[in-house]
Amino acid sequence: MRKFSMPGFWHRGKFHLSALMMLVPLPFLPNYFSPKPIFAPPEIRRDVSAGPFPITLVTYDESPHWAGNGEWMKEYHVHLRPADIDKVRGVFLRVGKPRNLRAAGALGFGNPYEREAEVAVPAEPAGTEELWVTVEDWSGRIHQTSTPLAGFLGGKR
Amino acid sequence: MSAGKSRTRLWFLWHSWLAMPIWAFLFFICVTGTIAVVSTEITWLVDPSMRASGGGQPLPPGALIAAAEAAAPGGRVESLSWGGSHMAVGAEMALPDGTFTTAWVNPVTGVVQGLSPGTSFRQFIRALHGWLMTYPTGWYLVTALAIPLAGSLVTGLVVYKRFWKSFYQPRIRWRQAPRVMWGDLHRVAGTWSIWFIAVISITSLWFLIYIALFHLGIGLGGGKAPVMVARDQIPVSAARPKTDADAVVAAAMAALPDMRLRYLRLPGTAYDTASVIGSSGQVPLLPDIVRVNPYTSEVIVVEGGLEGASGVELTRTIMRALHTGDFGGLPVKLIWFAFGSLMSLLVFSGMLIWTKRTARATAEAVRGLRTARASSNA
Repeated sequence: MRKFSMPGFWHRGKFHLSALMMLVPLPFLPNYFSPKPIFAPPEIRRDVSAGPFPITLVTYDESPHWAGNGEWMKEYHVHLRPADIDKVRGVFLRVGKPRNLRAAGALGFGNPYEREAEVAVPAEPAGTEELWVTVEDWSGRIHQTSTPLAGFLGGKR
Repeated sequence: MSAGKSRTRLWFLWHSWLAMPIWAFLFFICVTGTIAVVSTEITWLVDPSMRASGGGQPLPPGALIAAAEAAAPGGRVESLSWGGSHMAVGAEMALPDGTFTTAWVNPVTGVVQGLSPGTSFRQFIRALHGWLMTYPTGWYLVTALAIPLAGSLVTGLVVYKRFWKSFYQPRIRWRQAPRVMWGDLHRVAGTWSIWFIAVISITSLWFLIYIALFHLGIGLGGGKAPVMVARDQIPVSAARPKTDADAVVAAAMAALPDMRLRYLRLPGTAYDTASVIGSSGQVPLLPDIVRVNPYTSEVIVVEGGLEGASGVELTRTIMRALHTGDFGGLPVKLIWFAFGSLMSLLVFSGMLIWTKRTARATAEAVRGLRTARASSNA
């Protein structure tokens, strides 16, 4: 004798429950179709000047991510003035002062108006580190500047 | 019951239960994967700006780049992709607001037929199929399906005695009861898809292993240092010298005259090479990549082919090509689409058979057990 209809419903329906997996992508749809992230974390912006080039560095306020190769990485976006993008050969970011141009750090790539650079950051920052910005222009000249890493790593730190 | 028969019964139970609890998820992944195979063709059907007439003398790459950049203020073309004579050339452009857009340029007239900003349908369906848009969790969830898939194939072959008869004597009893019809369809479709299910489950398993090793920090090795332009070869000037796309492509075509041009990637940074990608068909599945100095238009290296890549890279390229069916143009894609549909049908018919038979058998078994218990209690 059937006392309660719930178990019957459960027996018939339980093997179709995996259809619920289709709901997983739903919350990500609007963000996916927007050219700019909608639910992006807040940004941290820093204005620096390397020689004649004013630069705005932007990063998301979120912790560095594990790169899988034993390093922690943080992504920074490099905004040059539009008039400067054809004068600049490359923008390099590195934690700590580079010893030479060969070790200038992560090279910004991608959209020239908003280059991205993946910078290796210390797992346990001491709080005194500096983020060095090295700009090489098309005449081969080097312009350098630095900004404290403290407050520019993002996340809870 | 003989030992052999009960063993078969056990295999049959495995076959029945492997996919059933996850059938809807597996079905969803099969269907989205099938659509993903022909996603470019679907957008081509839907979006007239992607079409070209197919006749006439094609314009050189430089003219296509100039046309695309004129259509979006401040736009910078980063790559051109050729999809065949009846497809407009896709010019991927960086925009001043930090976003990207694709301009569809008619290869003969140079008219920009439309702009597709943001994510394309191809990328969307790929993200939906490959990782449920939640990387990396979704990637693991989807690729883990390789295990029940391979299990279903193996157990299916064990329980279906003389399955090879379905190759030369396919029998589908359309007019019989639905259970019989679905059962026949499941067996015939399954037999004809053996190779395809094997290909898909092995390549999916590879995607699972690949990402797991990556997250465990175990490098697969074999990665070569990227080809760069030496600093002393970069010209000194007041401003960025513009890459001569025509000369770059001409140099690459001179190096590999039989190559069918598919892709031109302009240097991403000042130290980067220009890359011309195509298929010369010398080694199936493997594209040819020609790295060209963007300042002198001299070929630096011809990559691709068997000797060009390391074992891991080769495996990666081959696994990807086999999984997507994107290695032999439209005919291969259509074969992959057909068998993808067949595989979706297999999952669906398996579920139908299960609910019609296994559920009843299980219910009967449980009822029998209860009756037995009730009578022993009495």
